[in-house]
Parts: sequence; structure tokens; C-alpha cells
Amino acid sequence: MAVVLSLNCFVALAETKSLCVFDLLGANGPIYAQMKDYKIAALGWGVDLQLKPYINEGQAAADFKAGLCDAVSFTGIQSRQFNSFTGSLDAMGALPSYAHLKTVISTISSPQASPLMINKPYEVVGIIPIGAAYLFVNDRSLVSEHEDTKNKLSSIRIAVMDNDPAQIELVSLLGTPSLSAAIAEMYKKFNAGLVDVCYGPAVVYQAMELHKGLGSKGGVIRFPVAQLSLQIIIRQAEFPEQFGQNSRNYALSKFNKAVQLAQGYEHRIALQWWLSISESNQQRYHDIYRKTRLSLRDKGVYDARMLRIMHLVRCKKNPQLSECTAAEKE
Amino acid sequence: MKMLIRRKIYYWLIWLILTLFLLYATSMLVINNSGKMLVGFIEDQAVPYVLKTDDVAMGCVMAEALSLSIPSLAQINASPYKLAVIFEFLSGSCAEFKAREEELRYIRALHAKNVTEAQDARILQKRFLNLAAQRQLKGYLNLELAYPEMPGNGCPQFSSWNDEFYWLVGLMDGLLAVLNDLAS
Repeated sequence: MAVVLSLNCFVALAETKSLCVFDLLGANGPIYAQMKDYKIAALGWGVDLQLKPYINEGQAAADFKAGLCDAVSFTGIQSRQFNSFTGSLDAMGALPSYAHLKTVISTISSPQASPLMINKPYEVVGIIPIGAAYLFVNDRSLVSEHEDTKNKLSSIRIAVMDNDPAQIELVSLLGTPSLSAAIAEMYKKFNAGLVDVCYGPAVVYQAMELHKGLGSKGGVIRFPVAQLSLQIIIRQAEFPEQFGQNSRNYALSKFNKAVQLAQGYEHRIALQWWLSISESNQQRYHDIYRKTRLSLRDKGVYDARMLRIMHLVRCKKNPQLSECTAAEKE
Repeated sequence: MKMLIRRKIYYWLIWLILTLFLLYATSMLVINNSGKMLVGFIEDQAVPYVLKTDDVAMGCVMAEALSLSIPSLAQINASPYKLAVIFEFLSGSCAEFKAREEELRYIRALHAKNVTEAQDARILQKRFLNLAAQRQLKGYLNLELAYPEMPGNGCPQFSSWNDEFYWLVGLMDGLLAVLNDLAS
């Protein structure tokens, strides 16, 4: 019996496929480490993944398109070009908490929702949270708790990622000057004082030494701008039939651990740096984000179905929200 | 007669107090200097000797065994921080070696398509990397205690080669702690 059980642990035949992994720290980074675990799980589903580290997300996407990788893992922003449904998960201000995110990911990872994960020839086979993105500002008076920021926002300079049309749209709505940059460049510019505001998950605070950019007057606004995620995409025809669903179940099982990790990074930012914003400003932020989402939906950047799901989740968790009774729904 | 006895008692009492004082002062002198001598010996003789040997595994096992006793040197008025920087570095290396062995086991298991074995090896590898990161972080924190006056961003000046060496090892402690924490 023992011999039979132990034999079950061996995979007799596994196809070799390549997985391009985006991680700012390359093969030494935390995302690459997660993919080493994923490689083991994939072996169990009959695929032997060969990992290739990338420090440039755009390059990983280009190589995946060119057929140099059979699968790829990068941020949701980049995955939007392969599947706009899951790529809209990180829509601006759409999910205010990790509980909201869990409900959405659980829903779309179910077998019933699998057609939504496929956009031939690509299939999204896993969504793992990276953490909520927050705004880092170099002057806390810009978002003082008791003041209306309406007039102040127009004069501050915001760094935006050059590969994300959503961010460019948001700053154009705010009417503020923006400076577009690649992901790593953005934080260097913030630290050098070239921009007043940048955005990112809590993990970048330590990794990119953002305390230099915050200086003595800055802070981190306690209001999630977006829920960033890591998405794994495969070329569907290259993989076994059940691979996608198995992989999505696996990614969902890692949700809590990933959130714990993200919250750990948030706790590492000292309390003194966190800035609370007033109710009126929060409402204003919600309105701006909502307008941005609707505008991007109309332009075809965000997927209407995903926005609708996220709207339903928000209204289910808090039916008092004004958007739940608004005429123009997402 | 009574006066004579009283004088004798005072006389012996003074001698007793003097002797006790002398013993106490000597013991304090020994304790103070033995701590400094011990740390001085380890810093000047033992550490260079260990670093010179080509048996890295033995050095690492020694550091792993002695790391816990290094802070106790503070009880005999010696500053243990610089030693802790290098001992935590070496004991961190011990955990790194074990993590590397587990990574090899992980690769072997993947090659043999043995999923359970690969999972097991990967879990152990991450545990050892986490342990290495914790030890190296301790080493870095000791660096901050050993050189509290050193600037954070500028290049510091050192009076001795030893100090320069401990400073560099401490910085490596910090860097490796971050890398191993991310990998775990």
C-alpha cells in the first residue's frame, strides 16, 4: 500500500513549457520565489515549467506575445492587453478592502466563470494579490484631514506609469500636471523631488526607500487607490485541458497568505506616516474614481462586466453607498 | 583591660574591612579587564584565525554554537556588539548552507518529477532562508549598536582595519537579511 501511495507522488509524463516571470528583483525576488512553488504545483498537473526571470514587465509581455514564453506572470495592469476582464480588477478605487477583493477573486475563479478567463488564444490561470496601492505624498498639507483638497490638487505633480492608460486618464480628470515613467523610474523621481505624488503598494516603501521622498512633511494616504494583483496567463492550446481550473484553485488557496504578506508590509510603515482623510474628501475621491472608471469603460480600457461585478460587491457589502442608488450605474 | 580588648577588636575590624575592600576592588579589576581581554583576544586572534581557515562549515558551526553567549559578555563590562555582527553573519551562513542543500533537493525532486519531495524541500528551504534572514537582521541591528555615531548616507572613517571589516560585514548582514527575507 505504501509503495502504491509513494508512486502516486511521481508524475510519469510532464510536458516542458516556459514561464516568463516579471519581478523587479529578478531571480532573487519574492514573486520569482512564489513561482518556484507554483512550478511544483504545475508539475502535479502534468506540466514542467521552466522559469525565466524578467526585470522589465513590458519585455515579458512582448516575449509572451512573440511566442518566446508559453506562460507569463506579471501585474494586472500589463495583463489588461491579454484579458481586459481580469485586467480591470485593479480599476481605480473599485475595491476598498481585501474582503471585497476576495469576494471578487473567489467568484471569478469558479468553474462557472471560466469562459470569462479565456480570451483566445490566452487564458488567465491565476490571480494573486500583491497588495493595495496607496498614494505617497511629499507634503501632508496637500491632504490635510480637515481641509477640502479641491483647489489644491490642481497644482501638484503626479507620477504615473507610462504603461497604464487608467492613471493617465485619472490625472487628466484631476487637471494636474503629470510625469509618466516606468515602474522603477517613478519612485526614483519621487525620491528626487521631481514629483509630489506617486503611487504603489506598501512593499515599495521599503524596497524603493520612499522615506527619502516623503521627507519630514510627507505621508501615505490611508485610502486604497487600487488593488494590485499578480496574474498568470497561458497560451491555452499549449496546456492540458484542466490546467487552467487547477491553477485558478491553487491561486485562490494562496489568497490569504498573499494578503497577510501585503498587510505585513503595510504594518512596517510607521503609524506617523499614515494620513487619514476627511469624510468629505473621501466622498470626493470616490466620485473622481467612479468618473474615471466610467470614462475608461466607455473608452474600452476597463471591461464593463468586471466593473459591474465590483459594483455589485461594493453595494452588497455596503448598501448605503450613494452609487448604489445612482442613475448611472457601472 | 577592656580598653585593650576594644582596641584589638577595632584593629582587626579595620583589617577585615580593608581586606574585603581590597578583594572587592581586585575582583572588579579582574572582571572588568577579563571581559575586555576576552573580547580583545577573540577580535584580534580568534576571528582572524577562523576567517583564515578553509573549513567554512566548522566556522559556521562554531558561530552557531557561540552566538547565544556573545551578548552575555556585556555582563562583564565588555562591548559584545562587534562580535555579534560577525557571529550572526556566520550563523546566518549556516542556515543559508542548509537552505542551499534543500534547494538542491528541490531541483533533484523536480528532475525526478517527485512532487511531494519537491514541496517538502521547498518548505524547508524557505524555513532556513527565513532563519538566515532573522540572524542576519540581528547582526545588522548589532552594527547599529556598535557604531551609533556613524552616518547613514556618507562614507565613514575608521581608526583600525578591524573596525572597517566589522562595518562591511554588518552591511552585508543587512543586505543578505533583506534578500533572504524576500526569498523566503
